[in-house]
Amino acid sequence: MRLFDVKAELLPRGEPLTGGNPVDLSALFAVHHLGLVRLALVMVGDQATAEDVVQEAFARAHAGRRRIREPGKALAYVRSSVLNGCRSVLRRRTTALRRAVPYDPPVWSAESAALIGEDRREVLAALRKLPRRQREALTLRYYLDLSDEEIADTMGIGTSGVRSTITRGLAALGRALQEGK
Amino acid sequence: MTTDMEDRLRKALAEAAAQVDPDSLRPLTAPQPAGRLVPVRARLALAGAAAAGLAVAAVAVPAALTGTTASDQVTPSVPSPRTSVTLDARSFLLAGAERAAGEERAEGAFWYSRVRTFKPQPSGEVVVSSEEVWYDGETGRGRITTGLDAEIILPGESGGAGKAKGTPKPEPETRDFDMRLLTAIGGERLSQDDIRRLPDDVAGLRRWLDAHRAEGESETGFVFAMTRFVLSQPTTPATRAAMLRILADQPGLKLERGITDPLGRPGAAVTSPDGEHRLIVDESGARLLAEEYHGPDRADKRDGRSVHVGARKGEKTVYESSGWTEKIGDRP
Repeated sequence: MRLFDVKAELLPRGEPLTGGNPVDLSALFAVHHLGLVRLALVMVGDQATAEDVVQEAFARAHAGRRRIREPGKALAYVRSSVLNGCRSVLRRRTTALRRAVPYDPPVWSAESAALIGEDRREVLAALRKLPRRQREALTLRYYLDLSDEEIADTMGIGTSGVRSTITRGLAALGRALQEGK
Repeated sequence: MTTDMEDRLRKALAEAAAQVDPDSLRPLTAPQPAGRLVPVRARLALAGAAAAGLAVAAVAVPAALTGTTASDQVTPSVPSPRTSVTLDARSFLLAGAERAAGEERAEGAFWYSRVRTFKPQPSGEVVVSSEEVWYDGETGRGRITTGLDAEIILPGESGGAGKAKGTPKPEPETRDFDMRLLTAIGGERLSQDDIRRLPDDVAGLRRWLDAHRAEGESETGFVFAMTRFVLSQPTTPATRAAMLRILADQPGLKLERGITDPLGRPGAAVTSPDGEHRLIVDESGARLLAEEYHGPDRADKRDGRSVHVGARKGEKTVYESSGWTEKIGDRP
């Protein structure tokens, strides 16, 4: 068995917007909306909030589109914006002044009706307890399959920091799951 | 090496992300190319366009090896220059698009494909074999059989003068699998369902292609590769028609009529302006028979987590059969 019979041209690691100048956010939206909502969901836990976060990220990108000089960086820009939006949501939820906005139980909680296996829930719950940077790096690597460079771009840290964060995060995750047994 | 922890994490994230059903997404206000910060009711039809299925487990997908041959005996489809006709490729492709658009949309549980590949070796020998795959994108169940009807073609075999260089002949091997198979294109990973949801109109598909073509990559080369992909995958008739219309718009295409593919099936070939890519379709123009690569050799290489599949001059991939079936073992 080998990888799919797509030619090299079909497997570029480069960012998807190539010919558009100025940045074509409509195309970006059409292509990446679902994927970004899924990314936000694994960060914040419920779909309604995830959709809000992605909507805000696109609105922000739209407002700042003239500052996106490299069309190839547009996706990284929106991805970073989604990540920031998720951080804000999680911050709001954990502060004493959190807004009295109800949200669905996160997909990893026992209350959720999501069809997720028990082992998966344990892993997700353990992931949730990791420090933010480790959690984000692990999600970008093991959900989106991003390279070190792409994660560095999205998180605004160096590539060596990405590698060490992922190594530490995996170790911490393993320990947390062991302790949970 | 993938550790157990990495594997568990990958599966957990994919399962959580899969809770988002594309059809359940609220219609959102899309940014417009110009205008106010929050545009007025510019709704995008997301159902067809949001083809970015990013839930990921394994990206490895069973399928065709691209193949090649250096033997005259297995290259009946390569025409002599005298038979080339350098006009009307556009009309031919547009007619094929019309035919494709009129086809019925088929459904089934498993997408089946049988592909025969001609893969050249450094020794000059060519390894030829077929591969069958059944795959149900909803459940992840599937079966792959490789090494079918294998043969080794020796250098210069057409004259019977070749000597065996010891290249081993593939043996038939069947494996059942249960995994999410995703195809990586332009930084996106597409599930079988995502492939079925590719845009089905020319403008939408053109936008999708523009968004997935790598910087610096030639548009014609990408369009050729994507035409091969769209015509060989479980896409809708409308998507196939749109793809053929986009290919028809590429400048400098050459059309050759009255040829045969490596299996001897009659058809016509559309060749890219640089001569590197050659698609052989049936005479209706709607069905893909084979693809040939005549550009320079390219080695496989890894780039981050992506694998860029290499190619050798003269590679051939022949699409023997494909379609939907209700169960593994059935053939359309």
